[in-house]
Amino acid sequence: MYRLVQNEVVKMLRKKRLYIVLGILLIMISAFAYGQYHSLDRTREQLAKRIGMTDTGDWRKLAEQQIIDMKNRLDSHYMDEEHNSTTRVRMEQLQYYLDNNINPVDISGARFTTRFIEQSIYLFLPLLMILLAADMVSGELAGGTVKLLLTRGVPRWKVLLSKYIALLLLELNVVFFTLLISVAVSGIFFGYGGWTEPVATGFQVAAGKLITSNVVNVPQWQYLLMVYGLAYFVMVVVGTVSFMISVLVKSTAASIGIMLSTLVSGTFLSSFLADWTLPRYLFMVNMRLTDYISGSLRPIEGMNLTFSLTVLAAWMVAAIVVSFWYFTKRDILV
Amino acid sequence: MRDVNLSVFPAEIFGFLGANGAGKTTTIRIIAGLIKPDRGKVAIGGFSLDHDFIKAMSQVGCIIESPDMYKFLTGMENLQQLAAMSSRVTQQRLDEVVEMVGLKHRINDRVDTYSLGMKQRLGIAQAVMGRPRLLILDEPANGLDPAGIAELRQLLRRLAYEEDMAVLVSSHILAEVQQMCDTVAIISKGVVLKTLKVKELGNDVVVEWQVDKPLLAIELLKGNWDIAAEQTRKNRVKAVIERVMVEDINQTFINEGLRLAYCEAHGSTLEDLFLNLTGGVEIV
Amino acid sequence: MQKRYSWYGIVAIALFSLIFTLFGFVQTIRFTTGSPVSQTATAPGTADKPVKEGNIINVFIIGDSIAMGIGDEKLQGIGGYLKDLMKTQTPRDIVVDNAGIDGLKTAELLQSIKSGRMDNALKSADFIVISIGGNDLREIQRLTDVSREAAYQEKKAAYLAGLKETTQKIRALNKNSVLIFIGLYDPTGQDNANENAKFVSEWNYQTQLLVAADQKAIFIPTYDLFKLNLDRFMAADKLHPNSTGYQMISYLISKDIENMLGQL
Repeated sequence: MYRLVQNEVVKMLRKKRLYIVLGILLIMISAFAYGQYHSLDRTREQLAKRIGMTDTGDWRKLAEQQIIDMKNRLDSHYMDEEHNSTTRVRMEQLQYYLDNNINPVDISGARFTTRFIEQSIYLFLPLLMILLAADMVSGELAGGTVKLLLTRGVPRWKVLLSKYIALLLLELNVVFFTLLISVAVSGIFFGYGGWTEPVATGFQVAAGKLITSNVVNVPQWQYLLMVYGLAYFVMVVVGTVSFMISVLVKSTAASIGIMLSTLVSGTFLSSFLADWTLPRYLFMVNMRLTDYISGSLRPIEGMNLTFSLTVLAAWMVAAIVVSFWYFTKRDILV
Repeated sequence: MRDVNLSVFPAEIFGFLGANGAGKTTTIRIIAGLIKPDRGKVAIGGFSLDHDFIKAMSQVGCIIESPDMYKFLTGMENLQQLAAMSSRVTQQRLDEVVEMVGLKHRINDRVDTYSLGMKQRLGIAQAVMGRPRLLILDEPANGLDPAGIAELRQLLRRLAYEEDMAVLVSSHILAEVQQMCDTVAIISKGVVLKTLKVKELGNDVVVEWQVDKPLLAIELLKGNWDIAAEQTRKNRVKAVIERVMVEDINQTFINEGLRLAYCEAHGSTLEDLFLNLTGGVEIV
Repeated sequence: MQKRYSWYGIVAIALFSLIFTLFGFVQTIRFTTGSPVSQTATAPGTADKPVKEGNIINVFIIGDSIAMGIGDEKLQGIGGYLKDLMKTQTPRDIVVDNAGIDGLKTAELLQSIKSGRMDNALKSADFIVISIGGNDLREIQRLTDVSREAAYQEKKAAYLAGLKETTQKIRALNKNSVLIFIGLYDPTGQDNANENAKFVSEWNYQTQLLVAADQKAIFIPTYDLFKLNLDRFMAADKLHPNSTGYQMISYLISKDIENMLGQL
């Protein structure tokens, strides 16, 4: 089994798939960082225009004032506790910026790395997974090489399992290099710091409302790991579904096409989620997992992190079952 | 496919002859476990494909339809990949088979730079590297030049007779099968029409007589030797008989008062046999 | 050999990634699905409410961030300064209660009054300071010039209707209190000066008309006060008044209610 997995990994490497994926990552991350860098300039300009913040030290005055206001707010007994926990978290953040002399408008490398994942978890990273997974089986069918694999005295399920494990390994590599590249590239623009910066998390959704009473600050590095954990989960699910499609169809182009349109339809169906309950059971509308932990989502009745994780996991299991069932049964006619 | 009953024995090269679409490849796919038959059994070295797939397939080396290899790997990498799937093959054995198929100089080039003949050689190398007890080669001569085909023939004989392999070769080229094989099965439209030893082929001849009473001649052949003959043209009768019988038959015809104008004997080749059996299905 | 290295590299990276993504995933589950922390703070509205007693004057401040005192570096706000000023005018004790919430809009104020959470405080108040409408008006600032005028008219109509209903609700609870409406000022300075000036003045004028209909309500104009003194009266955020600004507003209020205070 070990050697089978090794075989599959070597094939993927020699097919240059991984390198293509990493190349795309490098280009996209650089472009994203460059864009952020420029929009940061514009944000600064706008701020300067709006509130006359010209001197770099001015943000401190503003932050100090905001902290005082928030203390004030916390003292009012007309504020409910839910409001207060967000206020407290925000205060901690501002205090950190003041203590470490970081302008909150600025972006650190660590913050960029997190933001990149938040932006790419529902479309860009899944696309890369499709590139990796879409021809894993269909490529062998189209090239006729599947005959070599299946006439070797190795049971079919083992052949497929070795491919699946290889896919999981490569996905982990993509996660790692995404992290590495985005830290390295964003560092050039924004510096390599920001790892201890506090980030608010712990948002919950219940009865269609965002509940903020559990909100706490965690250091950026920990938040980063959380975001990457979710990203890997999404990547595995998309990879698995894509793997299933590649088992079911013979042509790699068809396999990529099916998955692409599925993903795109996901972004499109998302807009109906509030009124139409059926699409929420599709995997492609449940991929914005990071929105749940950053609290930046539009709460929808009945959808929360647990729900989305369950839907994704169910799709993954189903895709695995279908893949193995079909692959071990089918006649090879190529 | 129906009524296909084949036995291939060690140290035997078994030819599988049929027109395109006759069911050769389908049969071979069933033997190699790529297609599950609706009914029937395949056993390799005594192991049933259904129940002991791994043990059965471990004894098989094959090329099916075309020698497909990973184009983005070198020849050697292809072999290493496949060698990793069975425990028996060492690097030394790989070098040995590469030498054997004559690919030594190009084995470290990528397969997409290979000619069809070289791919065929690489395919044979991967098929034989595990010293299989059953070697299945589907159209192995495709893409080989005449010298290559001659080499292949020698190679297969060596494998069969020296290493005791059972070799199953399918082909649609008659001459190739006749030269290469010990036993031939002729298949048409999914049915095996005849299985015979190649060396017995020369014993039969096709004889054509021109006589004045063809019906009487047919009757005589049927009555005396139980030979089925047919009338081909107005005064002509044709039958397949053993060579040694021609004289007896001619004598009998004359004795019975037939006017024998003409007698022609063709040495029966596989081609005649094939055309006879399949009713002249288009064959290349 | 190169193949070996890349294979071990892949496996090593995969293991490393697996550990950190698993860690992150578990953390996420822990943070997001934990049961809500039990709240020790008292629920809003049940805090000790100022009860009307003979010797106490209750001031109740409701509305937006200006009611709350945002921007005041001394943390006093209108409540704090007004209390100090009133102390010089009456021997009785002054109790100030502040229910300001930053970002509050007219509709939200009306809603929170309707909810009944503030009923006790409203009933017992002698003076009710109301600052509202600034956030409603600020919304149209983001719009482009073309749609601005229409949006402004719409917002203003909604604001006036809301304010009217708010006043009615308060009056239903408390007929005798003095309602003190704080007028809007223009924090933007020179930008779009003419148009903003028109918008804010019109807004204030309509508010004033509404206030005039109530016998015991007064309007505190702030527009001209801030117009030429933005630098002195504005906080660092260039939106809220600073301590001096709040003191000025409180001073205006205290002068307006000086006479009234004596009668209580």
